Amino acid sequence: MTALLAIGALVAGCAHVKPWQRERLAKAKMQLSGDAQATELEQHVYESREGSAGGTGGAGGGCGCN
Amino acid sequence: MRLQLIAALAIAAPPTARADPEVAASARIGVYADSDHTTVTTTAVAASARPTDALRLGAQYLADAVSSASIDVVSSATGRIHELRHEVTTTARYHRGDHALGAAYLYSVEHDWASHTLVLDASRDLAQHAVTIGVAVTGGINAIGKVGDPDLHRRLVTGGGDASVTVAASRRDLLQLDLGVALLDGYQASPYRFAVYGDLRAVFETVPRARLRQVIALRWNHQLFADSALRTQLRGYRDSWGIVSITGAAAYVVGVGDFDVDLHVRGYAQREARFYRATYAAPMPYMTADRELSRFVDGFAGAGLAWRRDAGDAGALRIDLKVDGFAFAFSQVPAMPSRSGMIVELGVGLSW
Repeated sequence: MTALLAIGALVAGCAHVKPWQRERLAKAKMQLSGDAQATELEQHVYESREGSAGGTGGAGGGCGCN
Repeated sequence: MRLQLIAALAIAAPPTARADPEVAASARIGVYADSDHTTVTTTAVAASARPTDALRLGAQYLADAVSSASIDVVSSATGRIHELRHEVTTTARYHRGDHALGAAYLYSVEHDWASHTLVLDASRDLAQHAVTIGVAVTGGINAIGKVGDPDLHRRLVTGGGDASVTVAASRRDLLQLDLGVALLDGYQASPYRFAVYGDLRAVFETVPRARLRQVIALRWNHQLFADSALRTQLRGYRDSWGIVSITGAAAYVVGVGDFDVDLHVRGYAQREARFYRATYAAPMPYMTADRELSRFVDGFAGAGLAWRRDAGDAGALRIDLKVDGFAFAFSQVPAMPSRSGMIVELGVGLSW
């Protein structure tokens, strides 16, 4: 329920931002993913040394790093 | 590996600022060293090309070279180990108008582990591209062996799904909510690790066959002034083994001419698996010595410097350097109450 409310709030919040108002959001520094290859190496460090995984845009699987 | 979709995106996304170049290539090397006598050198090279306006094909090779004399290794009486893991990823991404479809196949192999993973994802833009919804599914098969024991053959099957919504919440704010679930079924212990009980009697560790993981993450990027941004992330996680964790991260990125400078921090706190014990008085159905299943906190902090030159149709070049320090505090691992170390990465990206 909390997640659904959060999604609703997110979608409601976008209604006022028109395409010509999103110049700042298009800048590379504002991208949510950052440098994808750097992110992959970074997440590998976290996921092989912490007990949790996921939440990075893809679902988790097995790991050969035990 | 648990990073299937990230790997897929790493190849599918051009490494430089150009919107959609014909060809993109990137390389990255990272060195991890910690106080537990472990060094990991990771090298990745990737390339992608756009044979048609809507289709991008890519491939990546990644190698992890591990050298370790950690307490896990020493306790299994094997001395320092040297391992090499190879990972190959191929991707295809179709993008037309408001829709995108992607597929990736990953093969990872090391001396005692091999895995095949398939990732499928789709996304759609709504409200004049102000909202993007995305879904992804993954499935994988892992074959696990053990050096010195040719008769040990174990299997781990993985599957999962992920849904996300990304919103332009204001002229300066991007928000993303990500929900994920994954089920792992099969062998998830280490064939090299022992649990100790009673009067120092050692048994191979055993953990439940099934593990259901759930995660929720919220990202918020805020444009501060002329050419700088604050990126933040909050993540909550729980699984059927009893682990509950929370992660918080923030990065400040500022542009100075052709350079981008970033400062970043990340904190993590985890509650232990319900069957984890610092010491076992008597045998239990599940017993582990895996400190990743114990209660601990960790923190990472560092800085990055990137240089980018975009020559229009002639192409674009990006070089970046990143340095991080980190520390772990294990409250339930008497043999290793803390671990600290450094990570250094150098990356190069080209597109034309």
